[in-house]
Amino acid sequence: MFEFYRKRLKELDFIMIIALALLLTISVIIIDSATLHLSTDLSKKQIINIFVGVFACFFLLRYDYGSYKKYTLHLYLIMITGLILVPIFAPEIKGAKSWISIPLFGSLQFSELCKIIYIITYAKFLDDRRHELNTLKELLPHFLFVAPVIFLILLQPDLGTAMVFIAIMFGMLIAAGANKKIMFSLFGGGTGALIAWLLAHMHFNVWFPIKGYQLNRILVVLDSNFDVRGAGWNQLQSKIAIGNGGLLGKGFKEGTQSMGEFLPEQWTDFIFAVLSEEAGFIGAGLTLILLFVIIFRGIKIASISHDYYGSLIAAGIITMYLFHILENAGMNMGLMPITGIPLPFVSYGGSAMLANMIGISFLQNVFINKEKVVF
Amino acid sequence: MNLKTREELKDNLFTLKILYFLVFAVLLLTLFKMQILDSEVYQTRADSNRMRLVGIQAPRGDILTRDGEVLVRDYPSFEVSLTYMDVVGAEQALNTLVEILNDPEITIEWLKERIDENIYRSYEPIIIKRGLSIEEVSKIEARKNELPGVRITESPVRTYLYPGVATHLLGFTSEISSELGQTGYENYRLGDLIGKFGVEKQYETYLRGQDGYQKVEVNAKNRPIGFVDTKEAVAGNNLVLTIDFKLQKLLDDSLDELLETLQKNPRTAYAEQGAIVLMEVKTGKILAMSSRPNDPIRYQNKVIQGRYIPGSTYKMITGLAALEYAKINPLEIIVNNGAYWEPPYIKSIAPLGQYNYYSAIARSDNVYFQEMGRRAGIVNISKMGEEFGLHLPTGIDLPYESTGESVFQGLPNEEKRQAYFQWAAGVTNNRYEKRLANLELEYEEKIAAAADEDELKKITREKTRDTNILKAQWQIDLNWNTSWHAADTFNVAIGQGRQNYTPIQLVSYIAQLANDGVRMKPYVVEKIVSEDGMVIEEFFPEIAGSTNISKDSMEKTIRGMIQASEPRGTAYSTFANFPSNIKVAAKTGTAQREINIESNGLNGETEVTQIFQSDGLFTAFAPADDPEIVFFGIIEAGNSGSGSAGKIAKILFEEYFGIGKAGE
Repeated sequence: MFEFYRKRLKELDFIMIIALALLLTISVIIIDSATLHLSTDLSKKQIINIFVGVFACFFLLRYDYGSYKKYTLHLYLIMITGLILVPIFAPEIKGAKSWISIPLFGSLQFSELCKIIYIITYAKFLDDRRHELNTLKELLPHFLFVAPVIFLILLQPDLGTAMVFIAIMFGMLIAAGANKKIMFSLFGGGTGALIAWLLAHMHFNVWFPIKGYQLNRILVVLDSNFDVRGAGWNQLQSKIAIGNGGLLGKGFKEGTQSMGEFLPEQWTDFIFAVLSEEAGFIGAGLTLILLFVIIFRGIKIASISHDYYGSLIAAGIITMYLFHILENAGMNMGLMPITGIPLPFVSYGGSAMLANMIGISFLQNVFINKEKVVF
Repeated sequence: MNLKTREELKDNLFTLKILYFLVFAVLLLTLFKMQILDSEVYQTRADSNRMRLVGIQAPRGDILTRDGEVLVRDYPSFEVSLTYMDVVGAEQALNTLVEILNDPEITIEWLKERIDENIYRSYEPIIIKRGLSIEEVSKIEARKNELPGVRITESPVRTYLYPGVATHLLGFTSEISSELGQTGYENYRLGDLIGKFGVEKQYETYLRGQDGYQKVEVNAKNRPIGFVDTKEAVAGNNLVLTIDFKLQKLLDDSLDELLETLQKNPRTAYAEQGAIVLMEVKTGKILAMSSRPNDPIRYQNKVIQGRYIPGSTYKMITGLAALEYAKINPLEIIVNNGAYWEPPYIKSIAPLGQYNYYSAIARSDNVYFQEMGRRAGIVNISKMGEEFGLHLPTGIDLPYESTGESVFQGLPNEEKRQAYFQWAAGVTNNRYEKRLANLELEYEEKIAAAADEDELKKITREKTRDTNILKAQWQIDLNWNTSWHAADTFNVAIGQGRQNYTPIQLVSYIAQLANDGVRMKPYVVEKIVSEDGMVIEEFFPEIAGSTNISKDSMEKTIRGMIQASEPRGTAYSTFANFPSNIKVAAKTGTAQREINIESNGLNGETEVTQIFQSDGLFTAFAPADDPEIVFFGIIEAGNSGSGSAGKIAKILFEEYFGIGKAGE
């Protein structure tokens, strides 16, 4: 086993590994600062989260990603069953029933793991139908594939996570070469339909899969004066924190917005604002660059995969990362509505860390098995 | 993977690359805009987010008498306050606090209410109780560990060291109210104390200190997380009054005593109110000043706000007018047969007999002064009143001095008389217009009801006749009401009728007579001294006016007043024990007033009955040959001048000149 890893480690993509290591260091430091006022030291817990993730990463490296192809149907069914059962049995935490507890490990947010399972299973589904992606009729099975997953997540209700699944599907479809015209018109049409639905909900009380406070979070992005005491206040405080950072930042544990608890959930949802305030444009910009190093290395890996299945997995994972970054940094800067989507590798959280590290292990897995003759 | 597939893959991934790069660019550029371009705006917002100012109340200045007795001072008082605390977590602490304070008003519910009210300003301590006793302070300190968030602080509390002494002169402070938002009060905030009356109001700008503040850094829940900056409060300046402590205290004590004694006597049972002032003749400095009642609800300093009919204390004006303008011979004898010989035959209560100028003043003969009034005429009498400033407010440095602007108030000079006539004409015309209209209506009905032509003619004739009668009456009434009559002059000449003055105006006029015709402006504050003893501002005597009338006339008048305190004079008994080297010039007076007496009727309703009472007035200055102090006093319903206010004059003069002490 030792011999196996010695050989494997040499084959990893070190650019990505270095970027990842830097991001994880930033994470531990900034969580330390962001949780100064809490009684529990979350930065130490985050270190444990990282080790769990690294362990999972190494464990999964032992198996070729191609070996999952055989079990995609099983995995898909486990995912659907889990999504049905978890809300029934799981306790409610932060308004969502999506946590399962695992003996000796702690609690785990099942929907985070679903993202990975979804990518692996959908990659197989997509790979089988790669040449039949040119008409709406041909795309219909794909929507049927994702529909139960999204429906079950919306029931929780978790619009943010549902959006992640849709984004992943779009990213993977583009990578698979789906008709671009259809893709873009679906994206435009989907957005339009969503807005229409929203308006119908507001004016005619049509059912919409989010709660009132979540709706406010969306509306606040459009009008910063909306709901100034609630969602608007949070977003305003986050923007003030980021702007307050300036070029060099206020310094470690010196951010007045962060130290004054003006930011809610500042170790997860608003970690980017804390980082921006204390480390300034230099620190927050560097973090964004490191995240995009991982994404562009991911695209590179996708392009040199020895089979299309590996490329699709890589595309799915980086799309997952991308959407998380866009949503989290975007909501911190007031570009996106507030959701509970964490910033990959930086926000505090065991489940997200585990899912993201598994993602890394798959990217590396694809990299190790890259096509050697093409170049 | 074959080459064609690889090409397709790269093509597809290129689209992804472009899209993801756009996302990256948008995020980075937004971050750049917020942190580099717009950073200043956000930094300002962040600062105002977390900085709060907590005021530190500055002590007001002291108020002292000229001889250094402190009358008013801010003393530190202990107050207990709650700094931020979680209601849930600190339930036990609140219970303990309630138990220690043991105050029926301070309950656990009340505390929680206060905390809830303050939820958005929790960086500001909530004051629970002011003026803690030492026992309460030590109890709280002893159980400090059980009382997280409970703090004892010191804050200045205005303390009046001699309750009942110079109350109206000092005035009071209270929380700013209607002044807020007006010009001149920009530096005040809700809850600030401000002088509302007396010198506290008049010298507000000097007395008020500069409040300090603590700049507190707070978190999102407004809990304090650090002190950034402290600006110490600066105490206000001290006022040194012209008041003499001994005289003032004596005045207040003896006035209370006098009123109490008078009230026991059925003839003066309603003697509850009054105004007394003692002033330095040559400077206008007020040595003592008191007003009664000491009623905190209807606060009124009657020395400057009360208007009184002067009674016989006005006779010197009439006398001077006769001497100066009618050139009467002071030795001419006028006989008092009990009443004046001209209508309305106003009585004189002075002994029957012969009077010259001096004895008429000394014994206050009404016949003599009615005749003097007739000879001088109202124009000259009121002109003399103006010579002594009775048509003007004195300009004393106290708020709310009565200006006497109404047509019924003040000196009946030409201007006032005309104003009154105008008012009377208005009232008369109004009344007759109504009567005329009623008459018209009455006859319209009669005309309508007329049976035949003859009756109609008869009614029309009657109507013309009645209308003419009414119009003639109107004209007569109008003429009467808008003209000055001899009787009016007689009334004014003896200090009655349509005239009234404030005690401060009257004391100024007597002082002017004593001071060779130079009228000094009365004032109560000598100087303003900073906390560390530096003189900020000093006030010097100011001439308010002077007269051109001859010294001889004034001396003759004073001679009459001196005789008043000599045997057979009205004020003889008052100063009988004074040594011959200290001659006192005095004048007594009475003026009738109608007062409402409220009593509980049989049915429990309040019944109001009106009775006539005489105000007792008294004025004096001494030593008559070189006057130093002047007294003016009024006891409402005091019945006689020497029997009421005169007694206070005696006590104050004895104290000032040290009479009667040496012998004891």
